[in-house]
Amino acid sequence: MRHRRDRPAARSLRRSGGGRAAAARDIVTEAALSLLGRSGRAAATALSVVIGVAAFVTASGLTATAGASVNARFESFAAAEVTLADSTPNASTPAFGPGALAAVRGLPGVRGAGDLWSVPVRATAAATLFAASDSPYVQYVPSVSVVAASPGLLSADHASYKFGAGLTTVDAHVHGDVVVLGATAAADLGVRSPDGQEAVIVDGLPFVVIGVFKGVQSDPSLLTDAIVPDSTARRLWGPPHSGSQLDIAVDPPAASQVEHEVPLLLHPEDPTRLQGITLAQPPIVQPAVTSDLTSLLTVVTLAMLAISIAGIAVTMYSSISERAFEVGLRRALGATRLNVAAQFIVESLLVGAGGAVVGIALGVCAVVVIAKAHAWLPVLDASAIAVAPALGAGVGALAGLLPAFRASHLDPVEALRR
Amino acid sequence: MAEAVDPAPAPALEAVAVSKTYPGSPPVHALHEVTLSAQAGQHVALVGRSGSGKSTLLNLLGLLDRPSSGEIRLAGTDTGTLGDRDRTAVRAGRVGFVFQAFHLLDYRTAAENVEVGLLHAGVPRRERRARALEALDAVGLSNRAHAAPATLSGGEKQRVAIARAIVTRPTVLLSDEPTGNLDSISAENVLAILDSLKPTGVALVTVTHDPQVAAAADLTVALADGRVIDAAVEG
Repeated sequence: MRHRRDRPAARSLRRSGGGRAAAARDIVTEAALSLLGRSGRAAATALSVVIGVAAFVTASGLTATAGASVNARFESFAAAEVTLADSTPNASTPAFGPGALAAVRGLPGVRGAGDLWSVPVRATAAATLFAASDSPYVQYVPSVSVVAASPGLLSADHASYKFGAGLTTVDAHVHGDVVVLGATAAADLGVRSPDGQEAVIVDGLPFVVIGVFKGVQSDPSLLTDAIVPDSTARRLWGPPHSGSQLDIAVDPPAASQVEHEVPLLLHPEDPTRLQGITLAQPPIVQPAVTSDLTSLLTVVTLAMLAISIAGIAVTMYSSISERAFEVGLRRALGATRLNVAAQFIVESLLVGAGGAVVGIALGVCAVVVIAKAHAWLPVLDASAIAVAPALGAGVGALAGLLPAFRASHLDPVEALRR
Repeated sequence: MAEAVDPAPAPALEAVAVSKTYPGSPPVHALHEVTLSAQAGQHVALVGRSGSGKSTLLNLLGLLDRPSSGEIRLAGTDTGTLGDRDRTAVRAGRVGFVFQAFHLLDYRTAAENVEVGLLHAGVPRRERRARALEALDAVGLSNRAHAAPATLSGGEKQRVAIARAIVTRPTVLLSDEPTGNLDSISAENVLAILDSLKPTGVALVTVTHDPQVAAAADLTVALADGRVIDAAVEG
């Protein structure tokens, strides 16, 4: 039943009231005292926000940390080495003639340099020399490609060795036919532990295996090759005609300068003959990685919002029954429906904000611990941390709407009977 | 020339031919054209068996519910035309409630519970504590102002509830079985406190099963099946 309002009658019966600001302050105070008075329930209500915000801060922190780590790796990887390739096939002059490497090594910022080219022969296992030639069966003979390299190449590529060592100038000039195998090539050829007795056959000649390397920084395809000294390759198969490549180890700040200077230094008449090769393209890969991480963060954030809203709403909604007498009492003492609703919403908002603060602390700890465990530099997303309390408060206020509506519409007579 | 005579002041509280029917199948007729009034400083006791309509009438008198027909008047003004917000405001400033179950907030001290009564009465925050202590003093509990409800006896809890009801200086104080949960000594104390309020001009309406309370009232109204069956002026 609707009732026509009678303002004169209301004025004659009402007593003066406080201002809206005072009423708002009272509601916030009552909400805070109510939460403090039921700290256990408040903590339980805030738990979902704590978990949600901790997950959000952790996800954003790990995203930033992982992003920074990926960036650092890309940058160090790309910046520590410059690779230049001969782009002119069958040129009349070698891409890297006598004295080229020495000239490059003399440039500022260059730590080392080595050239390589593919040799048109294959390396096979030494046992194939003694295989029966009259076998009626076609036998599979494993072989690997052969690359000629200057003594400084593997050093410039930061090769790490499984056995033995890399090529040196002494090997090339004194020991003669020696070879270094990539780990994959060694496995293919059955070379397990070179001790000066193992050999492979290259173009019908035995080459002593002096080392097996298991990793290089810039060009993993070398792991499948047999690498012979450049002087040996020139002696046996002549100079390279095309496809030569120069790997230069540099100080990171000098990378672009070196990449620009070397073509001018070696081929001033045609600097375009040498083209820089970038093995990884950070500008292309990084956005992709960042996009993936951002998607992950978005999913985590949405999940956090849903969990937090549901957690607060369910807990607060279920608490209305046990707080019914309080609602009835406040209504009897003059609280309007709006007053009751506002108190529930403010309580929910404070729970959300408080839970967010605790969640931030836990999330920051999680990021630091996880980053330390992986030897990453922890990077925290300041904007995520700044926005989390507001997000928690917003989530709390949103979650409090339904409980507030229900509480404010309790019949005070019924509520006081409970 | 005839001398002007002041008209008699309107009763502090009146129910005029008030009926209350709860919808349902069949509908429940809780009150049938009940009429009563309480003057300022008068104590009216409502007695009757459970289900006789006492609490329904008290809720109507306290503007917690609306009658199906009839009028509830406060100081001569019909409250039936007031909207919800105005009825709420009137409750806040002019009506005090005392409940059988005390209804104290267990996480607040006695003084803070009394202050809750002032929250919506337009009393500035800085005045509330003094008013609350004054009300507690009036019920003899000034020394328990900072006690938690859990540490109070039943009688003390009810005295805190009375302090909360009178702290707004209401014109009407409605009590629902105020001694129902108390031992005899505590009941006597509560009754004495209620009696001591009459000189302040507050109209008291008390629902009770306690003959002692009924005997202490100025007027006892007996209800049965939602009708007034007897109204007796005490003593």
